[in-house]
This record gives sequence, C-alpha cells and structure tokens, in this order.
Amino acid sequence: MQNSSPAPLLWLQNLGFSWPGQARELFFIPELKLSPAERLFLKGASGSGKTTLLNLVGGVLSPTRGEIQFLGRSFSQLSASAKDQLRADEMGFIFQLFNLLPFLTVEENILLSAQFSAERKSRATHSRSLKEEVRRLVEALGLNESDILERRADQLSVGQQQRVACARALLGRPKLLIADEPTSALDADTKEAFIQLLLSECEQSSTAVLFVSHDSSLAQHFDRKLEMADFLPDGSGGRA
Amino acid sequence: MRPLVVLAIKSLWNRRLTALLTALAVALSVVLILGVERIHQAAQSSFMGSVAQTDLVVGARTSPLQLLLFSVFRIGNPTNSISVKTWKHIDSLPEVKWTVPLSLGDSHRGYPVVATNDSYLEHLRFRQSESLSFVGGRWFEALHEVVIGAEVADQLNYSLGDKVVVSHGTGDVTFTHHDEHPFKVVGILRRTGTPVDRSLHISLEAMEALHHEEEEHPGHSHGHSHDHHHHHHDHHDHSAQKISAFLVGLESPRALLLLQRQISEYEAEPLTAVIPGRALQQLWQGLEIVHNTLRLIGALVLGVSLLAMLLVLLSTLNERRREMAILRALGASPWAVMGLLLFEALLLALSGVVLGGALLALGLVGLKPWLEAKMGLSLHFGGIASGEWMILVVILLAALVVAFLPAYQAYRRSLADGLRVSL
Ligand SMILES: Nc1ncnc2c1ncn2[C@@H]1O[C@H](COP(=O)(O)OP(=O)(O)OP(=O)(O)O)[C@@H](O)[C@H]1O
Ligand SMILES: [Mg+2]
Repeated sequence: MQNSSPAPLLWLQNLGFSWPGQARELFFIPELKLSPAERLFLKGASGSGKTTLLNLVGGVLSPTRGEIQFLGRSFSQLSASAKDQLRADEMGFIFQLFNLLPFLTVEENILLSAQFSAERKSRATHSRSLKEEVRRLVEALGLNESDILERRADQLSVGQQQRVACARALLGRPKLLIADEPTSALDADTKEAFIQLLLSECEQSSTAVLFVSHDSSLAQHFDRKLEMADFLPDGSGGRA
Repeated sequence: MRPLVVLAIKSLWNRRLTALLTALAVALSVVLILGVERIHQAAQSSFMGSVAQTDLVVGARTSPLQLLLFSVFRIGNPTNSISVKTWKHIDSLPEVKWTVPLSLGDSHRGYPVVATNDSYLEHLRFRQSESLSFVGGRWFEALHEVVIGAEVADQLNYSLGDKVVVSHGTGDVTFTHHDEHPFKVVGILRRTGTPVDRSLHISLEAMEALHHEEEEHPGHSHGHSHDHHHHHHDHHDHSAQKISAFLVGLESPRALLLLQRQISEYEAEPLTAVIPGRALQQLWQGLEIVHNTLRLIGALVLGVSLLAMLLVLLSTLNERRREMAILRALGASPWAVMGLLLFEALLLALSGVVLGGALLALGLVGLKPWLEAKMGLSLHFGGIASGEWMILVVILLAALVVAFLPAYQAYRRSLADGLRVSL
C-alpha cells in the first residue's frame, strides 16, 4: 500500500489483453486505481475494447499479462469459481440493453442478485425486509407505479428496464457498479435523469462506479475521466 | 444452485407450448414402449390362466395351435371331430385323472356354444387354481338347459329362466335356427376372465339332439357340411358319437410326455395331443416378430422425440444467449449455465415420462373392458415393475445424453461471450 492514500478498491497494473490468435494487444493499461465509492468515466470509441476491459474486471476473461486486484485480492490467485463468487457478492452490472430475464417479473429480476449471493442478501436485509428494500430501490430510481414490481420485465419501456437493471445491480450494496453504456438506448432527457438517479443511489450505498461510454457529454457527472485511447499498446501509434 | 432450478422451471413455463409438445413426444414413446410390454405380459398371463391345470388338450389331427385356439380359446372352428370311443378309452387310462369333453361349432348370437358334461364344472380351473362358481342357478341337468358365462349374461342381458335359441355355425350370421327347442337358462357363471365368460354350455346329448332334428327337417338345409353327421339316423337315444376335443388332467406330471406320444400314435384314429403351455410358448415365439417390431417402433419414436427435444434446445440457444450473459454477470459459473440446460432437458424428459405414465394408465383402464369383452382376456395391470423403472431411467439418461450437446455449446459460448450481451 502506498503512503496515505486509501487502499484502492480496484487496481490494474500493466494490464494487457489480446484475443487468442491475435498477436497485437487490444489495449495496455500501465496502471489504473479506483478508490472505494469513486466515480470513474471511461470513454472509448466503438471497438476500442471497453466491454473487453469490463469482462476482465468482472473476472470473466483473464488478462494476457499484468495483474488485477479487487478488494486486495489478486485475480491471478483466484480460481474461476472464486471470481464468480466475488462478482456475485461485490459487483453489479448494467449493460446497454437486455438486462432482464423477460419471463420474470420486475421483482423476481431484482431479487436475482440476492439469490446468487448470500452476502448481498444479508446486506440488503440489514435494516429492512428484502421486499421493502426492493420497493425502496425502485422508488429511489424513479419507478413509482404501484404495480411495477408485479409486471413482467418484457412489458416495460427501455428506460424502465434500465432502472430495474440498476436496482438489481445495486441491491445488497456491492462495492462496484460496472455500467457498459447503459444510457445509449435512452433519449437525452431520460439519459440525464437516469444518470443522476443512478449516481445518487451509488453515493448512498458507497458504491464505486466504473462507467464506460463513447458519449463524453456524460463525463461531467463523474469524479474522473479516462480514455481508452490512452491505453493503446506500445508501437501501435496511439494519439499524438 | 437453487435459483437456477427455479429459473429453469420458470423459463420452461415461459415456453410452455413448445415444452408441452416436446414432453408429449416423449410421453408418446413411453406409452408405446411400456404399453407394448404391458399388453404382451397381461395377454401372456391371461392366456396361461385360461389353461390352468390342464395338462393336455386332445383333438383330431391338426396343428397344435389350432387345436388349442378352438378348444380353449374358442377362436376358429374345429376341423375334425374324434369319436367318443377314443375319448372314453383315454379317459380310462390309469395315468389320467380327469377329462373334460368339448363339442364345439354352434353359436348363439356370435357367442360360442360348448357342449360338455359335469366334469367341465368340476375340473376346469382359471387363474392357477380357482374353480368355476355360479352367480345364480346351477349346472345343466335336463336336455334343454343352458349355463351361460358372465359376459354372455351381461352383454345379452339374460337372466335365469330366459329362453335361448342356438344356431348352427359360429359367427354373428346364423345359418340355421333350431327354433323347435329353445334352451332355458338355468345357471349363470361368475366372471373368470377366460373364454368361459363368452361361452354358453349345454350337454353333449343336447348338441346331439340339435343335429338330429336338423337332419330330420330337410327344409333346413344350410349347405354347410360338417362331420357331425356320420351317425345312425335310426335311433334316438341322443347319446353323442363324436366330440371336438377333450381336456386331460393327469395323476402325475411325470406321465405327460409319454402319454402325449401314446396319444399321437393312437391307432384307431389320428389324434393330436397338445401341452397347452408349450403350444402357447410357440404362439409367443411366433408373435415375437410382431412384438419386436412394436419394440423397435417404440425405440424409434423415442429417438424421434429426443431429436425433437434436441432441436428445441438448440434452437433456443441463440435467443437465450442474453439470458446466459445475464446469469454470468450475476455470478453463475459456465458450469451452472451448462447445468441449467441439462436440468431443463431432464425436466422435459421427466414431464414426458410422467405424462406418458398417466396416459398409459388411462389408456389401459379405458381399453380393459374392451379387451376383456372382445378377447376374453382378463388383464391385470399392477404398479410399475422394476423392469419398467429401468426403461424410464434409461429414457431419462438418454435425454441427458442428448442434451449434452446443446449444454456443452452453452458452456462454450458463455465462456466466449462472457458478459457481452450482444444484440
Ligand atoms: N470473442 C471475441 N473474439 C475475438 N475478438 C473479439 C471478441 N469479442 C470482441 N472482439 C474484438 O475485440 C475488440 C473490442 O471489442 P469490445 O466489444 O470490447 O469493444 P467496445 O469498446 O465495447 O465496443 P462498443 O462500443 O461497440 O461496444 C473488437 O475489435 C472486437 O472485434
Ligand atoms: Mg461494448
């Protein structure tokens, strides 16, 4: 640990990744630290490797070189199932689209987080019952219809679906929220409102945010902004 | 693991029409495979039950199977008759305990009329060792008395005291009516689940008298020749000269083979002596091709139904890529994703098996009265036998094996896709 700065939640060191059969690395990250509850915006053009990087952080893909530490634990030291468990316990994911299982109700979708992680279930039920916590979350995220929890997920608008996905990702206060262009399917107004609700809820639960997008207009809401273009591997002629 | 079980069920429920059709295909193969075995076994034990404790069936020379079919099962007509003298001679042999004479060839509204004597009531056994008994009335004593089986009584609605007309020839179409002397129902037998239920029983003398009358009324010619006519026309004692066959019970089973050979080599007239169990064995062997063909069809239907399941699972893989990615993001391992598909297949096969079992049970219960009425089979369907459990387990395992392909694909894909929720 360095000096007085708090232990990072996520620490990437000399992280390189290339797809099997490709000699060239997709990106190389000399160092990236994310503190607890910090909000990081990562901008990158399409195809720059944003989703791939999030797969590495989620422990679903393994880096070609370098090290990923999350909560002080080295991914290289962890088994695949330990990484799966860590992901279930401490990370929430929101994707661009299709976050929900269409045949489940909104409530069932949100409760999936608690079902895959006893840890998150116990944190969610710390001060109230699971059902109350789900209700609180959806209301905090601006879903106010009284019957919303009983509706089937495929009966919601895209904006509503993203909020439900957000509620599921935040249930049980994970340490890290990973958002992969969650707003790119939303119109400008909804986008703004969605970001604000999401960030304020993350702040309340002290959840760090790793938000990737190609849309830099959203960067203003975040503590810090990085660009994938800064992580182009050596010798590939990155930005001048 | 538990959330995945619930998810699999809900996901299947969401696709319940496809799932139901897939399960139905499996169910049909279960019905076919188990149904064939069930009916085969029930028919075997029912046939065996009809010849219980009869050691030999003796008739004029013919094929053993034909002799057995017309004498015991009342299927088809006797070809030739044998003389009463022969029967009496064999009856008197020391190793013979009892004989039951049978004279067949007449019918009443499609039901066979059997001329016999008191030993029929005394010695005939069904289902191993049960003897005949009456629902009402008694055995025939006078010439124009008839004792009817349970099925005859039920179907034709006869009760004690009713008058019955016997016609010559078998089958529904009657050739000649012996209108002159209707028979009076004096006894109704309890149900046995054997061809006795479908029979009407009269005395040998009554049969003889019937045929006398026929010949004394030339107007009743019927162009149907039979062997009962070779007796003397000039005496009216009505004692039988010919019978169709007789059943033999032995003092000791050790004499069986020797006696069978003795009878086959009988000099006064050509005879056939059949060991019923053996002849039935031959019948089953002859039917084995049919049985195996039905088994093969069952196996093919099972194969097709499993292929249908494979298609359903494979075709859903693409649309469920997202579902897999969501589950991975929630912390499910690729193995869990694979397990989800295997479990789904197991669930499909299991519902197919349960559905098939239910359909089979319903079908057999529904078919039983018909089989009993038409075939004289008494079918006993018990619970699931151990051999059937084996078949069911094999079906489930086959479903798992088949599901391994899509499951493995899901595993590979969820490893490659990771959290990439594409399109
Ligand atoms: N499974 C794979 N095998 C090989 N190459 C892949 C695979 N998945 C993605 N790629 C490649 O990796 C590169 C980065 O893809 P990635 O999805 O991470 O980009 P992205 O920044 O998320 O793009 P977008 O903004 O369009 O989502 C792309 O060139 C893509 O073609
Ligand atoms: Mg992407």
